[in-house]
Amino acid sequence: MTTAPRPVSALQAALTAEHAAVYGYGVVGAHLTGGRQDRATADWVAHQQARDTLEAMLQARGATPVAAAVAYRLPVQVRNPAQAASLAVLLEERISTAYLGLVAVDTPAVRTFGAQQVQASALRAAYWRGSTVAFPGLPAGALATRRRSGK
Amino acid sequence: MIANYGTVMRGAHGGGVDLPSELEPLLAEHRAHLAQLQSRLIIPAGSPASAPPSPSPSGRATTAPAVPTAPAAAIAFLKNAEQAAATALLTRLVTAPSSLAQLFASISASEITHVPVLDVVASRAGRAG
Repeated sequence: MTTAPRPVSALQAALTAEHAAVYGYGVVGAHLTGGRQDRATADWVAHQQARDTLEAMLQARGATPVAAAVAYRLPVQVRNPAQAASLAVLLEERISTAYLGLVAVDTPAVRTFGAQQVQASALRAAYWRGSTVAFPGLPAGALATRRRSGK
Repeated sequence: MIANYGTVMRGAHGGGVDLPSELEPLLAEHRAHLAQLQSRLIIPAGSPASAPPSPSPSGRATTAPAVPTAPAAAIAFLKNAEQAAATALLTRLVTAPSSLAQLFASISASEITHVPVLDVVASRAGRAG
């Protein structure tokens, strides 16, 4: 039987991912115009709000929130709108995975917040990707392989 | 959810709205959800979940709500079902073991992303109707 992760370490991991997303969305928005840029701005603000919530949750537990880095190495080069959208998808996929770490925590409030953030991130990712996926945030290796059947 | 999608997609044939092509990816995701859930859930023989359905205490049969036949209403039905399913999983994951809670959260997130897709389909169905 595995032990549930400690809330503080899971919250710090999610906060680290949010810091990277806030930085990354600045790059995303800089390569977009019009409605797509407005959308990127709204998503950027959503990540800032999530970051602030995570920091408050950590402080309430007596922990010092991990600080943002000055700059982040982006997972893809961004020189045009299509690459900007690809970066947004990657950022959201990483965020979803980080928040699934909160869902593994035994504290109900932390778990619920994590699950709500996985939903929010999946919605943003679906917008930028232009399609949905079956298992937001779950790495392929975490999924069992078995026969298909009807539900 | 799979049964609901099947009903709507069968009803859409010949209805003048190209619903199946829009709904097929969502249905495929629900099938993937079920496969994962079945691979992780262990239901002991003789448990309530493995027993055949029994009459409700009131004596009335409990049946799933009928899926509307009109395209716009059918899509609205699916949208409501997706929202309800996503919300129900958010509640269930609170008391689930960690790994199952993560699967519930991921499936819930997938289901909530179906809602905007269904909004687009509903809009098209409404214009076609």
